[in-house]
Amino acid sequence: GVAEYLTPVLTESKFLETGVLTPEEFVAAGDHLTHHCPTWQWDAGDPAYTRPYLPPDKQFLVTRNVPCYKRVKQMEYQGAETVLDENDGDGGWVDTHSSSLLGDNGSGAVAQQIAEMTLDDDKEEASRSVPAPLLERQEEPEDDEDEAFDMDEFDEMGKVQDEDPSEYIAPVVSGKSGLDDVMEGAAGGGGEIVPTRRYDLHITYDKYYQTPRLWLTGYDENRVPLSVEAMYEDFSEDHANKTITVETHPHLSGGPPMASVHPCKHAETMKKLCEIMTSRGSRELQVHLYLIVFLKFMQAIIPTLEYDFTQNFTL
Amino acid sequence: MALVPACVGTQLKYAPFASSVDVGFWYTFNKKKLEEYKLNTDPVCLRGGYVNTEDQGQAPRLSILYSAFARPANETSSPGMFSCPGVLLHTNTVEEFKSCNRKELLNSIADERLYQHMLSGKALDEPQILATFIVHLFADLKKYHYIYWFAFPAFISHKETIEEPIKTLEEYWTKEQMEIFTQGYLTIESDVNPGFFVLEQPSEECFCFHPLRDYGKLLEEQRQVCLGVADPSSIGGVPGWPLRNLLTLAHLQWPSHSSHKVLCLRMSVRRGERSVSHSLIFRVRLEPRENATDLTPCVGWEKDGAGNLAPIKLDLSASMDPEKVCDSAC
Repeated sequence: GVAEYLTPVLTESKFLETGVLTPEEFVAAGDHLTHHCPTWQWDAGDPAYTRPYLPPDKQFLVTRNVPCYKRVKQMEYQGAETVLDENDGDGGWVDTHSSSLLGDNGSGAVAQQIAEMTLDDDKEEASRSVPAPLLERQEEPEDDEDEAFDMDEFDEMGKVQDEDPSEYIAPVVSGKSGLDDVMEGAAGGGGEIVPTRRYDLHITYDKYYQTPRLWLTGYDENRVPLSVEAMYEDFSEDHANKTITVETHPHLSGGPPMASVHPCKHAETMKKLCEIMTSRGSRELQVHLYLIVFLKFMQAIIPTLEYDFTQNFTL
Repeated sequence: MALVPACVGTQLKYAPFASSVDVGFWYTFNKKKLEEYKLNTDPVCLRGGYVNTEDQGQAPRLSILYSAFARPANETSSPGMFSCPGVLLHTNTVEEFKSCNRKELLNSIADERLYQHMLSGKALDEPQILATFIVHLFADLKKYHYIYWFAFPAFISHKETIEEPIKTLEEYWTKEQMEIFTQGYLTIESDVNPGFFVLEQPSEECFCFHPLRDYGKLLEEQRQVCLGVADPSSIGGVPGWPLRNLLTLAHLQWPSHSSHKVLCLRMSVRRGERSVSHSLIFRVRLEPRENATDLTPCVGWEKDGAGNLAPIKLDLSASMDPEKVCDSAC
C-alpha cells in the first residue's frame, strides 16, 4: 500500500520502549524461531514482491499443515473463563485460556493487555486496511459443480489400477471419540488416521506497523481450502470480528486474499508483555525471543491451533 | 507407543501419501496456463515436498505450493523438509481428463521418470527421484473449478517380508545413542541426502552417515549398515511410501542382497526439543511376487477421503472469481 511505501524503514532498535521491530531484529528473531522450532521455515516468496529491507531468502516465516482438531466452540473451558473489562463498549472480552498463556502464576495483567488489543474502529478506518466481512454467512454457493464434472465412471476401481497388496489402509476415526483420543494423545497408536482441519501460518514483517503480522490459510478435512467464514470458527470469538481482516499477502503474487491478525495493536501489546516479563524475570527480554512471545500471544486469538513456538521458557 | 501388529514373516505394508495443494498453487497455475502454456499440454516439471514431523494420527502428506513451478526439482533437501520432483499433466478439456487411460499413463510415467533412473543408477545420486509424483489436472479457468488426481508411483512386482520385528528406536537404542545419532544427523555432510541415506554404526555410540551410492560397497565390506529414510508416516509400525521405492532400488542395484536393515526416521519437535524415539527400525526380505515378470505394472493413484479411487474436485470460485470476491466484500 501507499502507507507502507511512504513509511521509512525502521533502523533503530526500539522494541523495549515501543514494542516495534526493525527488519534486522525481525530476521534475528526469525532465525531464532526456525532454529528452535524447525517446523517454522523462512520463505523467499514471489521474487516480484521481494522487499529490499529483508534478505531475499528470508522474506517471511511459514509453518504448514498445522492440525486444528477442534473448533473454538468445542474447546473445554477448564474453568479459566473470565470476562475482562466489562465496561468495554463491545461487551467485554472473554479470556478463556489465560492459564495456557500465562503459565502458573498468570496474573490478569497480561490477559488484560491482550484483551485490550481490540481494533479501534475509528483508527482502523483511518488506516489502510479493509475490515473483513464480519461473521455474516454467505449464501451457499450454487452447486453447479457436479454438472461440470460428473465423475461416476471412476468408481470402477479395477479400471484405474490393479489392487495394491502392500498398501496400508488406515482405519479412519472421526466423531467425538476420535477427537478425544487425539486430545489425549491416544490416536494414531492403533494406526488410525484422524481427519482434521489444517492451517498454514505465515509471519510477515509489516513495515507500516513495524511488527510481525500473522496470516492464516485453512483447509478442511478433505483438503479443500476453507472459506473465511469457516475459518472464523477457529478464531476466538471476540477477536474474530475485531482483529481479523482479509487482505492480500505482501509476498505472494495474485494469491487469494488471506485472513490476517491486524497488527495495529501488536506493538503496544508486545511492549506491555516485554515490560511484564522484565519485571518478573531476572533480565531484560532479548529481541531474538520476540517472535516466541508474539506467537504465544497469537494463541489467544487462535486457541485451538497447535503450532509449535515454545522452548523451555515461560512468560 | 503401540505399534500396529506386524509379525515376523508377514508382509510389510506402506502408508500412502495424501496430497496437499496450497491455494497459491492454483493461482500460479491459472496465470501460467493463460499466459504461458495456453493450449500446449506438454508435461510441466514441479517440485513438491514432505516432512517427517507429522503428528500421530495424521496421514503422510505430500505438498505442492505456490512455488512448485519455480524452483528446480533437484534442489537439495534439508533436514525438516524433503523436496521431490513431480510432473504436472494438464488437459484442455474435461473429456480428455475423464477418458484418460490411467493405467497406461501411470505405467509410462513411472517407467520414464522413476524406473529408468533406478536402473541407470541416477536415483542413487539423486535419491529424491524415489518420491516422484504425478498430478493429472483439468482446470475450468472460467469457473475456477479444478479436478485433479495425484499419483505416487510404486511397483508391485515384489513384496517385502518382515524379517526382524519392527521396533521403535526407543526400544532399540539408549537415550544417549539417540542423542548422538540426532546430533550427527543434523550436521550431516552435504553429499548425503538427509531424505535417503546409509547409516553405519561401527560401535555402540558411534554413527556415520554415507551417501546412498556407497551402500553396496559397504555391504560387501560387511560393515554394520542400514538404509535410512526420512519417513513421512506417523503411524506406529507402518512406514510411508518413500521406503517402498528405496527398497525397489536396492533390489535393482544390489540383487545379490535380499535382506536389508531399515531405519525409518521420524522426528518430532516440541518445545525446542527434537525426538527421534518413535522412529522405526527393522529388517525386511525382498521377494518377487508370484507370476511377476518385470517391474511394471505400477500402482499409486491416490484414494479420496472415502477410500475410493477418484479424483478431487475443487471449486475456488468463492475466493478466486473477481465477481464473487467483490460481492462478498460489499
